[in-house]
Amino acid sequence: MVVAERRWQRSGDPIFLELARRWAKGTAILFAVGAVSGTVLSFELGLLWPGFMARAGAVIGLPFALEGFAFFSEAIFLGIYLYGWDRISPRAHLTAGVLVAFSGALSGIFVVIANAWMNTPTGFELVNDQLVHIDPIAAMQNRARSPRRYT
Amino acid sequence: MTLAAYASTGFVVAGIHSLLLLRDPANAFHRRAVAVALLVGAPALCSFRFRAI
Repeated sequence: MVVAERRWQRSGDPIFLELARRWAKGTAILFAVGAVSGTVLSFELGLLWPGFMARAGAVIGLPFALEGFAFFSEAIFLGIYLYGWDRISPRAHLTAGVLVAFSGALSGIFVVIANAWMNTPTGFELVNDQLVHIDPIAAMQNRARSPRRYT
Repeated sequence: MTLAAYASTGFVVAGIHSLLLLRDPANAFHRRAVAVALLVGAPALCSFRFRAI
């Protein structure tokens, strides 16, 4: 979507503008589905797995919180992108699109980090059935967070 | 994982526009759509070799 808008701004070819606008509709639908399922999921964490979250929340809550911030910045800039076609300068509009893509990728990375921690948990010590020495940064740097680290 | 998302999205979008292009091979809209989608998908696919994020 952003690539198409950039090519429209450089070439003036109206087909690229039509392309960016049509893909923006697809992005809006996918974002809405993701927002709804993400809201359900965040309640499920507490309602379906309270025992897990009570213990693991302190260790792995940080990437979830950062994912929340990335999601909100994505939502803000997607709003600017979808409703700002004729209201802001072309350059600001393109920047909003780039920020949507960037924060979207960032929130994906944070969720994968949280998921990877469940496969290779790090950043804590288990002493007498209690989690102690909790280090959320070390938890985020667990082995499964990227294929290269895993080997 | 992130790169896999870019690769799969790029190729799915390219596939949809390619199917529509089969119906109407001269359509300039879908031609440009396939070009942009492959521009996103192909580098992501190639980068699997280097296993970044």
